[in-house]
Amino acid sequence: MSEKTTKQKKYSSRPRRAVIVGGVRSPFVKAFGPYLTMDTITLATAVVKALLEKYPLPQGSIDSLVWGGVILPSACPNTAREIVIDANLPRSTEAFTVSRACASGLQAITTAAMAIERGDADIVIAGGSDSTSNAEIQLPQKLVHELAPLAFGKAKPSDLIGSLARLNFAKDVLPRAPKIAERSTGQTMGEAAEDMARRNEISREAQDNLAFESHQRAANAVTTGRFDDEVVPIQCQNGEWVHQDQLIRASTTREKLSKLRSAFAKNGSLTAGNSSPLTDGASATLLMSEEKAESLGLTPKAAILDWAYVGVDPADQLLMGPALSIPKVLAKSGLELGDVSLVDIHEAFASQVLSVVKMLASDSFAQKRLGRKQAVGQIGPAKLNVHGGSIAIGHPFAATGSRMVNTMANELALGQGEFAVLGICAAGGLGASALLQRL
Amino acid sequence: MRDFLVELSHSPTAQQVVKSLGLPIPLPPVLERSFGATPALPFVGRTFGVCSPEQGPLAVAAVEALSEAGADIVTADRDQVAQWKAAAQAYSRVVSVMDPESGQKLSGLVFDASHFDSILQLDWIYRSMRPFLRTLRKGARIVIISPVPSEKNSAEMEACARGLEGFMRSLSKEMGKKGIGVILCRCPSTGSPSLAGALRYFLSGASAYVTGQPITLGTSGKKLTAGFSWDQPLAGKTALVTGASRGIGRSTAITLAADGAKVICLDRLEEADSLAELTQKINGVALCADITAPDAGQLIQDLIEKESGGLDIIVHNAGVTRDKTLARMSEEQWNLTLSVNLQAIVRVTGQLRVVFNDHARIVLLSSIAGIAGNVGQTNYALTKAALVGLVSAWSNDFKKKGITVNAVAPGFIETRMTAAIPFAIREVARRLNAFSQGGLPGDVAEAIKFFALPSSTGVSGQVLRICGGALVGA
Repeated sequence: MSEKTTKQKKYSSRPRRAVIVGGVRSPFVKAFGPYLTMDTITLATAVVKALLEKYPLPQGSIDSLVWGGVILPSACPNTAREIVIDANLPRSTEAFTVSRACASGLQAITTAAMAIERGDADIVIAGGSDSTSNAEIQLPQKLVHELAPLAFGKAKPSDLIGSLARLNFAKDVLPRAPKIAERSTGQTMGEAAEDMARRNEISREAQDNLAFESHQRAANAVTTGRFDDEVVPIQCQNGEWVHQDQLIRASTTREKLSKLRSAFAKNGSLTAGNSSPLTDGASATLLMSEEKAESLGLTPKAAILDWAYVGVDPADQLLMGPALSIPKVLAKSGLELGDVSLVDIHEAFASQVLSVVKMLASDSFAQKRLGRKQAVGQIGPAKLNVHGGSIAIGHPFAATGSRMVNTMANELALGQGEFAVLGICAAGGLGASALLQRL
Repeated sequence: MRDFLVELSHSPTAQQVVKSLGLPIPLPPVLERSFGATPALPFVGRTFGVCSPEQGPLAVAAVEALSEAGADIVTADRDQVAQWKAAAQAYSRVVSVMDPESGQKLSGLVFDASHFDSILQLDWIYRSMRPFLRTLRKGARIVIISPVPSEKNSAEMEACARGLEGFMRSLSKEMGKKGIGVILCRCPSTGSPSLAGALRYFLSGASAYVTGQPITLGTSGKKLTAGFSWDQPLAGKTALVTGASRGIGRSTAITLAADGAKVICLDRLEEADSLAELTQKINGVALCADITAPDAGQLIQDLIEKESGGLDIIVHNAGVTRDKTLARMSEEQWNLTLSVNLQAIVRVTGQLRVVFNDHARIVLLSSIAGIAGNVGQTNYALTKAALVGLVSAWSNDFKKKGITVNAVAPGFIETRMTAAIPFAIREVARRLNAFSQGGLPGDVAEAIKFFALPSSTGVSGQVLRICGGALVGA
């Protein structure tokens, strides 16, 4: 009986629904590549302009712009507002930035959906962008602390000499390269994913296989024109145009992948080939209330049914979040994994995707970690990451959520099923999921 | 209180000098303590051996408890890898076969002998447990699970239970030099709801100074529900600590608060300043009262009713020493010691009966002096030994409401009280244990917290010594 009650579809009772009208993204390119001089705001502005070219809206009708960012410029952390100004949107369009590590893009979209559902907005642009090429290199804190009193006070020459004497040139003066490491545990993402491969017994072969599939499927989507609806060309500052994703390797083979050296541990199973690359890019999604889309004569591609965010101890398995957030979002809507035709899991690392898939298929995981009798379910290759994922396409941190929403919304609109579920892992042990429904 | 030898042993250079010069200085082992908020995953990145000859019935439960706490598992038996895998995999932990060649060091060992009912099975200790010993790193922990001694046991089972206890005591003295502690958990082969919590405590640095001790885990007690979280396990609980302004009491208040408890800190009016500083630090409630006053119980009860309505944990920590040989002891010295250390505890506990919540925890502070006896401490030893009697009687009295009653018996702990002992006597007292060093107030506080945690459900009537395996005492 209780099974029945949880199966009741809550979303049907919601008075307002947020729908996805469409979305576009820039081609994703490797960091320090063609977008070298374009910072996150420049990339985002280009994408937002392209989105509005594709979906022209009445003047002044956009209520809000919500933007995700991970590497935020310290001079203007609220990048969203700068995007509004640079894209020459009406200055009355309010804008704010959200940051939830790699789930920032999805956070922007669900925040927008929340505002639409509760009637605060009718039209919202949401998305995310990141430019690893423009990450700020910080001066060591000790140097800053030593020099600040000299800069702000009346310093005597002897103070300067004293300050210099206290600094160790190699340790305190030279700027250090930024590292994607957990603040609480010191473990880098790669190390965490390496640990997950060992714990969940994910072989090198299985990881390389997933990476190979990712490239094959993404390459296929490019050649068949499947991505044409969601990728827009971007003009670089030297005037050249980038038309296509540049990280996808149609020519890669399992043999080539198997020959790469391990990247994060001696004799480890993770390589540059089965991990997502450092990427520059931006992605945007146009959301509206169902009524608004209808009144503007637009055909939405999908509705956002629900979303779920979870946290796990970073010391446990840093990137296992989707194994908890996917069952959570399904339960919220009274669905089972079997009801879902498309599963899109962000490929931070092949080992992490395969670990999550394994956890979802495990009865004991379901019993101990989810409090349910049986495994959430198997995810066959036919419905997992049908057009590849971050390993092949690239992962500009905050852009990934919007890219996944766009691809899945298009897939549903093309008639490939009724429901799609997304799973994204993020730093700090976070997990994020959203559930989309065909309209 | 500073211990020069312990400080010396923390310095690698000093260790090198002592070793290369062959100096006759016995450097105490470095104990790996972990105090403070209970981590939800205390064993992440650590590997533990589980040794289960003849299909020990508790091995799978131990594997599951350790995996849930974040540990990886090794076994000596290839077949057991397959049998235990499911239990570990729910938490994505690895079970593998021990490879002595790999140089891998284990953080601890669990030996399941809970089903031993034939003296021939004791051979397994030599055959199955001994190979593990060399793989243990310094500061590792060993837990031996034995049958519960009982009149209903067969003769041989009883012999096994008692024999394992003697074995454990001797092994603790042998392993002490490496800072390795050994504990005997008596647990019925049908399992105990408190096994997981006991393994977390006795295999972690929280129990670093506890060695050579048996403890009995009961079968009764409320099973941990699915909603129970190892993170902040005392959230929503109200605790009372008497004598909280300094030493063990202060440490206990801080430790309980770190796990989420609201702590009422009681001490005499003279200690008001330090009490205020403490309660501010831990967001607790200060109560200045004389615990020996007839209305002390009423005062506490009024405060509890105002604060939360019920009491979940009471730690009777307040105590005094008034040392003199019996012939020279004044009546005042005798009376005060009995009044604070015993009469107040009996009276206040009686008065507070009405405010105890179900599954509350009562923890008393006994002492090795009470167990072993000490010159000049007839009054003190009388009271501290009397508490052992209270523990066993009260554990039956309170059983119906699921309330547990236990005591900790500290040995030589570095506090203001032991700092006052003359140097020569202090040095002897400090070194006469398996670790050749004194304990810290935090060691006692962690043991008190172990009894107070919801995961120690049904553990009652126990007196746990925090003595580093002291040579004195039964």
